[in-house]
Amino acid sequence: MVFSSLLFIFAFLAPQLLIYYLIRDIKARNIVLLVFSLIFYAWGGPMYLLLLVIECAVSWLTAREIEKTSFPKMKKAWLILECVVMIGLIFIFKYFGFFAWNLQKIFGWPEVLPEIILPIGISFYTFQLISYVVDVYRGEVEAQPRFYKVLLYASLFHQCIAGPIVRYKTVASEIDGREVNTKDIAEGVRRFAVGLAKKAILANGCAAIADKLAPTALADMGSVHGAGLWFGMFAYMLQIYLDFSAYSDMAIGMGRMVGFHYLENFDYPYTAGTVQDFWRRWHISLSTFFRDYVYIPLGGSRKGQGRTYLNLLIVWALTGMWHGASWNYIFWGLYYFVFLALERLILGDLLKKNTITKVLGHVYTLLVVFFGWVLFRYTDTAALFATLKGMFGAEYKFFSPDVGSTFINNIFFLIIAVIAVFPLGKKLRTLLRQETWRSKKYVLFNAMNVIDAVTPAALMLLSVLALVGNSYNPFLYFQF
Amino acid sequence: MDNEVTRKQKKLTLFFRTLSIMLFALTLLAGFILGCVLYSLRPEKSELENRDLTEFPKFTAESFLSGDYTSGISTWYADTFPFREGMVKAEWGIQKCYGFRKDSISAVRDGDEVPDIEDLLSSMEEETSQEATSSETEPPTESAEPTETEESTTEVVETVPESIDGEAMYKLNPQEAGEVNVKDLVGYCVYGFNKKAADQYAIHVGNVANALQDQARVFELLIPNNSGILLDDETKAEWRLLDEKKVIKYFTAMTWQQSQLVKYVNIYDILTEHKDEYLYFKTDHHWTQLGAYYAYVRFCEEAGITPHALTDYKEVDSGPFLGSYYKTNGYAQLADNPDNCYGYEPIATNEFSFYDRDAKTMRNGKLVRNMSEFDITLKYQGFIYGDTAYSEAHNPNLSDGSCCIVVKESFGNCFAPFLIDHYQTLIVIDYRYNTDSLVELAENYDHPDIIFCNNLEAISDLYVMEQLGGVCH
Repeated sequence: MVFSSLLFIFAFLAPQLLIYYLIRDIKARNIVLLVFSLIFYAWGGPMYLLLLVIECAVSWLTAREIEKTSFPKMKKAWLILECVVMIGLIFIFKYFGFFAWNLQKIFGWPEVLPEIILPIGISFYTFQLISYVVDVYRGEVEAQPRFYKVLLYASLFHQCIAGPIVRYKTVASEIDGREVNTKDIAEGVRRFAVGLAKKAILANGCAAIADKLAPTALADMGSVHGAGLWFGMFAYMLQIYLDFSAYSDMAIGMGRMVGFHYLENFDYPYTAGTVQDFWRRWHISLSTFFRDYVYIPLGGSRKGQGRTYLNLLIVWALTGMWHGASWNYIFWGLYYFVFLALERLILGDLLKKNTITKVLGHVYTLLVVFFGWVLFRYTDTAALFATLKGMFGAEYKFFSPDVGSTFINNIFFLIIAVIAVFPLGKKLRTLLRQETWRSKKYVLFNAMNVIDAVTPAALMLLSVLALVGNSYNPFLYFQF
Repeated sequence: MDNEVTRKQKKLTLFFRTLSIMLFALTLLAGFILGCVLYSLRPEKSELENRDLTEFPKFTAESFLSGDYTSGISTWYADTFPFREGMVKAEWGIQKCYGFRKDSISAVRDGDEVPDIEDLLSSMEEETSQEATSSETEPPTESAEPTETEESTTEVVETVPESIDGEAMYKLNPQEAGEVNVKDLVGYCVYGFNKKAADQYAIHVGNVANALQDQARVFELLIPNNSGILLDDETKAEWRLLDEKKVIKYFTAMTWQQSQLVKYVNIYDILTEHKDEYLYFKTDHHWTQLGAYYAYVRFCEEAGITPHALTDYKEVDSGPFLGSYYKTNGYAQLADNPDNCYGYEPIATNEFSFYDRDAKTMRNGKLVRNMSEFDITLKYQGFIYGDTAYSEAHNPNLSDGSCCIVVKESFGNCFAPFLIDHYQTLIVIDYRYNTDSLVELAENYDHPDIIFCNNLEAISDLYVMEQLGGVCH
């Protein structure tokens, strides 16, 4: 089930919220959330629900044992057990096929490749559970004595299948007791509606342009043009941010509606001035996971320059791999390693020197990110090279009237999509609210509030219209 | 004072927050009631998209475990959501505001020239003229082995694919590539040639002609797309459209290779002559009945029949029409330039009987009916009730045993009614919904005329050609 589906909105979320608000007891509320979360997860195929439950059981057990024992070696042994099980399972379900495919390419063995279906959200909930046990090991959080609460934490439908990767310590106290006030619900409603509109209207609209002008299958590339590829990839660049951040918006919004306060996962990444800055703003929960659970334990930057770069290389190779079992994702991770290393060595300081270099820094960052998305989009290497050649006029004719027509036909839509990826709207809203609040002009104040009050319902209606009859609707990050 | 104002502001803020939550909750509640309670409002058919909507999935342990069952429920829930059609139309209205949507060039067909078949055509003409001489003494017979000429022409044709710009030219799945461009608020088909489908078409038509030999006359009437007839050369070049006249020549040459008994009805030239008239709809991929009338005139010439003048018919005005380019391709801007659907009632009779696509009983209806009371998007169904599997009409003024069988896809719907005035029996077969043997059917009548009446885009689909093969036996 995806958030941006009529079934989810009207047949799942509506009754879930209704039942939730009818109940006052926190335990009963948790059970309501758990039951709905398990239904939500099982909707994509109940077979893998078992895997989720097993991972939770192992994590619950290891965390408790780590807490119980006073022997550091035993603590470590339980932690290793947790990591082996979690990484082992994610390897089997996500990477084993890829590994076997590579073996077959090199050694001609195995003859038959295993067909393993990727369980939805495995990368997200596995990482959440690892972070939980590691945090218990580090003494940063207490182990949860109740299994169902660990299961609730990992399976909570807000973030279980497409993030953000919520740390247990972020929600530990809220699982045991949380308050929901009008502000929380109103903010949650607004955030959910904005996310839904971002996905259903903007991301899906951008996807239609990207798929048309920059198709991913080589067989569909007979009629592409250089200008179309640039434009299509630009649309994809907008789509991937709008799509993924929309999911996080909806997750954060639904969390707030029931009293959970998840951390932000995006901070307008396309405003970044350097690649390093971009990664501080993009998929923050993943970057911080790798920082806290891989980079720092490896020694971070404390063990000399050589080791620092090695650590960075490991982290970025893993970041790439996390996004998918395909070489293009690994190259994508390493591609970022190169730029991050360059910034560490020389570029970082240069780009911060003055206003001109800062502007150049933005341009450079956007270009790096743009070509990063080209690498990211094409799992088929032949299609990737054909696209790159086409973009630089080597493979296909550069211009075609359909590219111009697509641009003219969608010009207002694109302007809105571009505005949506920058903080202009947010800043304007904050400014107007502050001004009307300060000036005490009630006409303006009330006008602002009316707009704020009507916007979520209006966006919901527009999103529903966009979703009815729309065939393109998957969330890009479901595959991870 | 300041504190009082702040309290007022806080109160107002709380009020508006509550209002926001209430509005959101009401929207959710309305959606919940519509989607989960009012089951009877769920539509089963989409008239807008001319298809049956998704059915509720059947439960099996296997489909449940694999997730197919729940995925089926999700699809069913969205596909049959109450008031879906209205919402889709509203969404199109919104999408009109996405940009300046007067012209929409969504596709440009890559590919160069249609195979140069001049050699084959001259052989064909030569052979036809020789046959015309010899046929006076000898009836045409099916050649068990290819003649020398055939061998040499086959060679020419087999080299054809290499002369075309690679596989991109040949749409393996033309339904996916059924692209439409909009220019000056008129939709145009961006036609792509599919050689495999063309060759299959020729084989099927030829097989029928060969099987029936002198028991029937077989005509091939190939209908060009609106873009092939109406667009100026500059736009055709800009969109890299194929020369449909050449495409038609290729079809006829291929058919001729299969059977020299097939008579080709050239309608391209007469449609071009009348291109300033209302031959094609602006919002739909079909031709108008006026376009079909000119094809009928050309057919009559080939068949040795005297056609009726257009003024002989009673005109039926079904009013404004928004067709497939609007409703299926979603070019909402076409609503600003709607069509008008006119029909011409046959003179001898307007009555006919038909089997619907899946119905087992025969129903009666009008060959051309007034659709002004129907939805604006359904007007083309005024011709022989749309795509019915099998239709039959009888001319009460004739008793000569004459029969005409039209083998068609939807373009034939507005062509077929003209024929009832010249034959005792008119049979129309839509091969997409019918698998009965055409040869056996024809054998029930005395020297019927069989007309393969099809649009180029429609027959560029391998699956559709498979369906045609299903009746051509």
